[in-house]
Amino acid sequence: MQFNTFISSIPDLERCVNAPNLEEVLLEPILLARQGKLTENQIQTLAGEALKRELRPVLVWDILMPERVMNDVCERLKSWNLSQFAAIRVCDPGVAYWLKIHFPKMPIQLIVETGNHNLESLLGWCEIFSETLERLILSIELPEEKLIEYCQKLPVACELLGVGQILLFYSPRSLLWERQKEENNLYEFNPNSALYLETTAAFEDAPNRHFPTLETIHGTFMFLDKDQFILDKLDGLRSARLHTVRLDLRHLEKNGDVAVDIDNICRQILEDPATLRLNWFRETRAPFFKANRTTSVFSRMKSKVADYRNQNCLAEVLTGESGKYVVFQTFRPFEVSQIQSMIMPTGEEIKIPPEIAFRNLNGEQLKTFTSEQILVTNWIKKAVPGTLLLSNRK
Amino acid sequence: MWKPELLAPAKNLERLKVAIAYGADAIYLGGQNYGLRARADNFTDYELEQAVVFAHQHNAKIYVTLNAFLHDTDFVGLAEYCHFLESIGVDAVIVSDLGVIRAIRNSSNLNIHLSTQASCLNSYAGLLWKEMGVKRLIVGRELTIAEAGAIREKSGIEVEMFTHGAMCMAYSGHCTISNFTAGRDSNRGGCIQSCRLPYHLETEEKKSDDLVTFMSSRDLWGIYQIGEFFQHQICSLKIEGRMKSSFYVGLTCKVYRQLIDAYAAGTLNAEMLQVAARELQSVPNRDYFSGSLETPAGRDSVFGQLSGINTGTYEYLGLVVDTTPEEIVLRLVEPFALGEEIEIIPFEGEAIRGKVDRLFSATGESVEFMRQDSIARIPKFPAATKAGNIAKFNVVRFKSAVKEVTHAI
Repeated sequence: MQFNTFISSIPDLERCVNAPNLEEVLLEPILLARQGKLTENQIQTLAGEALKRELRPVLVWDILMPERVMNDVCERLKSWNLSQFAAIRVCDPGVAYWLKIHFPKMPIQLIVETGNHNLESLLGWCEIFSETLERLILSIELPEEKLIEYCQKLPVACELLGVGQILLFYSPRSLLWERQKEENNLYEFNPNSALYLETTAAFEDAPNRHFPTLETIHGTFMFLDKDQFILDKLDGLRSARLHTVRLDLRHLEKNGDVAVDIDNICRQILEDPATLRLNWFRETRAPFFKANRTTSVFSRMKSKVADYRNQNCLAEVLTGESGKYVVFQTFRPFEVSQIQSMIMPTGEEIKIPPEIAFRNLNGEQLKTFTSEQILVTNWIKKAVPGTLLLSNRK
Repeated sequence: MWKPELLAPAKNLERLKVAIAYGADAIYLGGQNYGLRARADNFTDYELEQAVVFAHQHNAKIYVTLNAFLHDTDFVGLAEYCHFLESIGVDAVIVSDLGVIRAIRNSSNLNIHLSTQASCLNSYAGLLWKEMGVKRLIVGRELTIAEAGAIREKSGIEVEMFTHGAMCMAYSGHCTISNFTAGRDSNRGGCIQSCRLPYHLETEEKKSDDLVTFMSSRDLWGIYQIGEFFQHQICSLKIEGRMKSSFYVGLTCKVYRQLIDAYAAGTLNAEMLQVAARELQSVPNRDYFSGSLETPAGRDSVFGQLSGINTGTYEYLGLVVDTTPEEIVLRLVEPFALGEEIEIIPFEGEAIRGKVDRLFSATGESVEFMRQDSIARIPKFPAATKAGNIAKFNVVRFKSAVKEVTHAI
């Protein structure tokens, strides 16, 4: 199991050289990366220096690519020397497909962190990009059990975020710049340099939780206020042959360096990860590592009578006036003799009074009914709107 | 002349019938599982069968959403469900997840439309999804019509665009605020709409007690781009809103039906657009804008309303559930009192306005007031009698009281 991390300077590289098990560095250009701060020249220089130090330089191209951006970026990339990158890391499937066509020998690392929470989809990506796909970057919403299964079953290497910020929101829209410009005139926008505005956002009812939010030329991003941290829980994944653990320290940047202390961190992961967690710079969590229960409330949100809405469902209560009447709308033609029961929206069964009489709006009592007919009966206790009239029990 | 399809949402059978009556060519809806609206009524299998029969009888199509990003355990029963959908004649399914696409293709011959949740944004992605067996792309809402047209042309696959309704501020499928802050998977139907909430924004330089809704998007409308949709052969114009009312569904379908037909007939003019804008503003909305249909959405795309209450010049009073030569039977959504002015929206033509001076309960008892969710019988007022085109599933509205709206920006 190896580590990788983002770098932005030669000192970052030097620390990476001294970091045990760290064999790969991630380079983020302004042009291609959501949080990119490096110019083309800086990227090329750092890639060259990484190669000299026997580190694999990986070009990060993780922005999503609307057609206009795709055309523009692909045109600009014609002048780039992509051959010195060991791989290109992409998120947009269209970019991966473009690379497959135009750079069929370039290894691809595909980010499948959003969605792609099932084996079938992951196998699908492996098949589509079989010739050049060297790695899948898996989602931290997957529980450990599934991550282990996927590492064992997928035909390519897998990577997972070991520590770093949890991205919550990615919008291409500029949501901070003009606001901050309006409010205090602090920022001057220069399209030729990296725009990088940072703020925090807190819910009105949770004012002490500050979610880091930033804007770059590629849009606005919001992160959780706590870091993902699974570095002390890697044994199972190591046994399952997880290939790479990403150590994302970009938010801990100091003086332009984004891999601050990476050498010591890598050492501590191997020697004493529990202490590393205890002393981590920010609060940590791994919300879905043990289990993902993000659909557990859904069953309570579903209708209790959905199973009754079938061919046995004759009519529905539209309204009623307590002690006076109930109004039904029929769903299908039926006869009064077919009526057997009523079920409330809560799932409770109601007894149908024996003396019940169904009348149309003219007051005529009916024994047979047509579809979508409005019927009025005498009052039926508990027959609230949404109550169903059934011909048979379920 | 070729026309794009008008595609409307339906939460249940009633909305489906309303949408088709007001001119929708196709309806998208969800079944009990695999969709993105856990809270919607959603159609049972029996209701789906009925929906397909009704739609096909009225020359409309049915597309079923299977657009959640599934986990392995969610696949249980999917193949059987696909067989069922195929057997009842569903026209297409809407899917986001490659795994679901593969499962569908392995178990059925259903037509597959790629959901906007998959954020298909460029022609190379279009080519890829086409190779995966997708028949139609519902492209990301971040694209202009011209870009969508370019994707259609370059990738040789039909393209559908959202034309009207609420918008995600994030790239669709790329927002997990609900997942990590509320423990509800937004991409499996549990979005809690955190983007609509007010936030305190603070920088190191500036602390502030002010609240801002900086992530809440204004609503999309595409009425001024109808010609462009034609020009770029966008095959389907989609109205957002599976959770929305019959009022919204009926009125938006009516407006877009008129505009599409008028453009095709060469009769679309500025006056019609003005009327269309006024009509759409009668429905609750978050201040319309053109989204990214012409240029990428900018700063003015934020809806700065703190209260979260939508504006609209009219309110939904109810739905016509029956008519006779003498009276209209309304299912009320709001309370209603004698003497109020109402407007009945026929499927075609102008609204029928009138003051209600007699009101009866379902049993024919004369009343002065009826509460919300009642059935009201209203004797036809002169304009209604004269109009002669009031029908079941007409929506009825009344003027909103002016609301105080707090704007944060």
